Amino acid sequence: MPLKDTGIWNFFKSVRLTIILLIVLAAIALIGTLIPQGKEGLRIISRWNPTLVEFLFKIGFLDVYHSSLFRLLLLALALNLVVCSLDRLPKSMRLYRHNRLSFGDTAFERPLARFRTKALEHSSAQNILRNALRLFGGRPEIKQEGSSVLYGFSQYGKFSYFGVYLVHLSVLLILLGGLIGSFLGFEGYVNILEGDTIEDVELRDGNGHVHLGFKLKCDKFFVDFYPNGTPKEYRSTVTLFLEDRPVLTKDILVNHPLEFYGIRFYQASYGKIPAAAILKVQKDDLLIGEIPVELGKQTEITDGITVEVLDMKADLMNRFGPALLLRISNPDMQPKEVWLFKNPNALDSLPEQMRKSERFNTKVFLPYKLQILDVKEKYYTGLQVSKDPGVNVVWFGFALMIFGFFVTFFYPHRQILIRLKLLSPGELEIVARTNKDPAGLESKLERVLSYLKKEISLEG
Amino acid sequence: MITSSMLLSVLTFVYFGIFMVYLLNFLLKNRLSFFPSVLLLLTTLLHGFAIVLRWIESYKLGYGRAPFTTLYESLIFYSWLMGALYLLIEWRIKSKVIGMFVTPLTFLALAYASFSKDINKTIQPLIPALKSNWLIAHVITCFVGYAAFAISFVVCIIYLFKRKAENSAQFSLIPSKGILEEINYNMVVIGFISLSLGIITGSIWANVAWGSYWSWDPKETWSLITWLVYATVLHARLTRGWRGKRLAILSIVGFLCVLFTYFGVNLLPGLHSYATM
Repeated sequence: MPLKDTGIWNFFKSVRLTIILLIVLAAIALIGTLIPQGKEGLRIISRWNPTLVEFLFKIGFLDVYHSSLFRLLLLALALNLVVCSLDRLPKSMRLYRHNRLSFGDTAFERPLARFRTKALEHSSAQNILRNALRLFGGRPEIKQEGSSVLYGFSQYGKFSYFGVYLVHLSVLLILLGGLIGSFLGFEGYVNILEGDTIEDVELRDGNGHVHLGFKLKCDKFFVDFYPNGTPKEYRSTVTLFLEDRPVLTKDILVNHPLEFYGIRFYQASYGKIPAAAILKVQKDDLLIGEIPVELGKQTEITDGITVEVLDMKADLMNRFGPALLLRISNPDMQPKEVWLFKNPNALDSLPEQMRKSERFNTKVFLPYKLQILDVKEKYYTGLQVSKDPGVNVVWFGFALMIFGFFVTFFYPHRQILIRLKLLSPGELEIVARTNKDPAGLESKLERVLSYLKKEISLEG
Repeated sequence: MITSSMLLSVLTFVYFGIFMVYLLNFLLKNRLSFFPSVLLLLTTLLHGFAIVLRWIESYKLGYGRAPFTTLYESLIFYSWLMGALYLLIEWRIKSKVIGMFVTPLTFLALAYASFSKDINKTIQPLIPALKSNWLIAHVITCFVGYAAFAISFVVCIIYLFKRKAENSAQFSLIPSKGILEEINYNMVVIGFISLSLGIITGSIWANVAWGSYWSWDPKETWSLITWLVYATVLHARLTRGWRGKRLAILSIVGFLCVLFTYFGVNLLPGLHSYATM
């Protein structure tokens, strides 16, 4: 059985299905704007009724644009587009080939214009016909019938029957581009402190990391404000390293991303965090040194003893003031993690029990004594990192869609047929046809007619 | 020295006056002849001048940017586009009835822009996200679409009126139902293509500014909803042969989506937040 007669074919070829799908897709997209979506949305939704939230989760409404329901509807729309287009294509092909005003009496049963003409020479009549047809547009064809009848025919815009298929194809391409992006691309982000280097980025959807295959260092972050306080410019100067060799230094600004090996880096956010401090180190009240330390780095403070700064707060829990979380290692003991406070009395408000916790026990340093002298803040830049190999397919789809719209809506197939009887007096008749914009055809015919009347009308 | 916002406040009242003139002309059965149209044309020119003036003012402040970035500026541009597009149609169909419905929309948009307490009229410098050559193309295409849809909406309302009272003498001034349907269709086509261009330029811009051509931001999503509704209008008319009341109502639904895309979305959080200020 040919595919064309099956029930599935008939189901998917219907434009009623298209209309239903378009409306249902619109409705589901609408739901997605009313129910907070994704990870961000969860924070708001957690205050709602748990049974309701669970139900919404089950039917996929908490991430509706990635739900199987939404994807299924898009698939159905794609199928509908393909089947519907294939179903109609033969008819358009027929129109393209055969929709043509034919020479002969039948075409002139109801002419749009008819008037009597002067007696004309054969050759000058041909010329006038040809000029009139050129005024109409297309390539003029002249045909002689017998000794006294001339036909002139011209048409243009036959391609107009295919505009709608271009638009449908463009929608499919855009969907395909989106599909390619979702399988082969990723969206991630990374925060980089000034001076730091990264080679992994975290994925937006929380599914782990992506290894870039090269290193990216933030040399400097810069933010500028207008006099009224509105931000004017965010700029990250970055250097890219391939196998530890610097290959490129560039600025990333909002609206000016950096692309490298198909991966794009966008200026997305920024911030300032405490990232460097000066530690005063004493042994039995004897000053050993004032040593700069940095967040995430290990520093040797005196022979054999190193500290690694795991965390740094300008004001821990908004009440304890500047504090550093240090991991202290020395050859003789297990590494220990301890919070060090700038204010020696910071913990006084806590109950005795908590103050005695190992986490706050600075005695592990003995006989050394550490003191925070200064905590310095540093900028970090927040970069959106993404790769989307489908994007060019989408761009092509966009271009095709616009082209398709113009063919579909503004590019008519128009044809004109003129019959001229070379008698004394002669007679001229015109018929014309268009598949869209009848008003446009009319104004065009007026021009052709006024030319013809001026040249050969008996009255004119 | 007169500023653009002063001029626009004055024009708000002028538009109300023009609405009255169009109404009077209707009641007097077109006896005012071309007077309403000339008045509207001059006002539209002045309105356009005010937009250019605002552009110049931004240069004087040292910001130098196109006047299309705040809610105030978009409303001004939108009301101007509606008036200009309407004048084109009036010239084509030689009927002033539609103007009776378009001028109050222009008046309302301008009045909201000029006198609402929530709207900031000062010329703000461009934040980094808006510093892009795509800004002008995106805003103009979107708003041409919105303006065409507004006219479609007005025509559909008139159509529904006309249907109810087809034989009344007063209504004979209104263009025939066939002409109204034709205008509606043309406006939907123009609006649909412009909206598509608006979404496309927006996508290309988003891909440069936000790192993805589509992020399901509420304004993006609502523009897609609007697009889907008007795609339905076109398919219903072109392949299912819908006409008359059903198509008029569907077009009106489309315009409600436009309004939500424009204003309602500001109630939802999203990336387009600068358009609310």
